[in-house]
Amino acid sequence: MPMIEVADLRKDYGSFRALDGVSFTLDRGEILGFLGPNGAGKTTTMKILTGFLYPTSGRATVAGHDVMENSVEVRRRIGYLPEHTPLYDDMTVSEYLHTCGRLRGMAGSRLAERKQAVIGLTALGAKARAPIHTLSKGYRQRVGLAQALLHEPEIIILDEPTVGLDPNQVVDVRAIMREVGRDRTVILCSHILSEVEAVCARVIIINDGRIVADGATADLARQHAGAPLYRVQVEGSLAALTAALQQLPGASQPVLAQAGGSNYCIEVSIAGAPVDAAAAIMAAVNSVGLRLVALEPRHATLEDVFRKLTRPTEHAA
Amino acid sequence: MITIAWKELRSFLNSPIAYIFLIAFTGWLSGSYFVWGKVGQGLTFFSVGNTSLDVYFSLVPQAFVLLVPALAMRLWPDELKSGTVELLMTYPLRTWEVVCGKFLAGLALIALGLVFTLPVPWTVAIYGDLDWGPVWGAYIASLMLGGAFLSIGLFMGALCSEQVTAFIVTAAICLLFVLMGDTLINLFIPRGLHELSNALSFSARFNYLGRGVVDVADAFYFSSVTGVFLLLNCTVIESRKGV
Repeated sequence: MPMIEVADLRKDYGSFRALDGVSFTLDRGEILGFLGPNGAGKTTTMKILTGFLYPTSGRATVAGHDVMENSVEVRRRIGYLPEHTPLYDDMTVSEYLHTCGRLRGMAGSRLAERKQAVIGLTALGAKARAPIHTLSKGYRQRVGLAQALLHEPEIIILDEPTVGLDPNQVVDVRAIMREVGRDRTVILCSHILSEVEAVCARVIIINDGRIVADGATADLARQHAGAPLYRVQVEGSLAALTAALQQLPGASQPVLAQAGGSNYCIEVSIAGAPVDAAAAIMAAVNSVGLRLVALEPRHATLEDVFRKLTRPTEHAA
Repeated sequence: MITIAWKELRSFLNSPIAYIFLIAFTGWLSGSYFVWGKVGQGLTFFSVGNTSLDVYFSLVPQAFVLLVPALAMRLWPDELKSGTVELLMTYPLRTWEVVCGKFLAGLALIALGLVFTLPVPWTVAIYGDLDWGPVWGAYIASLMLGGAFLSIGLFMGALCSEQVTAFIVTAAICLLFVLMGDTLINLFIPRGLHELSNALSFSARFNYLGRGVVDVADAFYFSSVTGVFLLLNCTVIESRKGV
């Protein structure tokens, strides 16, 4: 049985359709990156999964429990870090985690043990007695994370957990995510692509309330990138290089990527991805008497895929 | 539910509002009773000249009209503004548990305020012959009145999600409930509505209860008002989830 099952989810805010038929399933132990531009529907989807909002139509189940009919059972299984990390500012870290545990029905030695464990995991030991309103953004984020992990949930949903953190803190938080993701289902909402590439094995890209891509992080770039791109760097004349490359069958219009003196770098893609594309380019360059400085295939990144799939469409503009 | 109540009580005690409430409440009652006299009547302990505490407890509704909305106004708006409501509502808690927890925290503070007034009947009992029956009746009536006001304030906070608006609207509604049925007010409303106005009045029922006449109907009326507003509160919170 899939851990999370979402079928044709729709959500309207008044006349604005935030989600327009979102469907996906997620198995136990998967780490999913939920990507999309701001306002694409990421947070709305998470709010529906955590029972904070009801869907307008469609169905979502978590561990077999419907999010509307059996909301409390669903919420029991989820650890959630909402966007902007809301916390009870007047409490100390320790009091806050204690209250969170009590609200989840934890008590006694189990609560004490788990509290120690999450404080250790998120390296909050030194701040355990500090009032939350005195904490920096990075520490606040860790408190939110500790709260989400406190009850050893089967599913962890983190909405933009690294926004506003400095690079060191980002690395720390990612390490925590990888650590907990080893035996749990994790959904990481983000628009930071490198983060998703670093942490998640699977990616869903959402745009204008629809899923536009869903697959393994590594495959996705390959599938959506189109024809492979080559970077050709030569010493000599730009016009001659352009002309030579255009002669190649299936070549795209060459694009100047870099120029320095008589040193030019051009990007060109060869449709149909012939195996000997690199050799063909090399031959073409040699035939017009230019000196080839460098030739490298440029692998499509998640960023390319993201930009290709989420460029503002007509009706959104 | 109890954990929610503790959490709210804690945050009450961490903020000045709880202390302002307690000091203002006891100050208002004792000040009016012993020093400057009840608003509009000028009656004090000394001018009444007997050991009945009727006048003392008749001060409770006017104090509550201003102070209970002040207590209630932060319970929801704080959570709605800071976004902690998203934490609370994604925890495995039922909406009514959250609403009742918040209500209980406020009620506990009101009860504490009433406990702080106990020295007054004690003092009177020392110097005179005090009939404790009506005194306990008045305490029960006060707590029920406070509960009703609190539930109205809690509901308004959830509805307006803005402290100041919630306070003003709640105070106005509470004042209306208190003034209804007053002879003076009845002069300004159509004769046909007098019966309704008398029936809905908080003051009349409060006074009956306060005389030690614990009428089931009066107690039931306060509980119903409280219950209805708590229920409305749950509905408002649920409706925020949208469909």
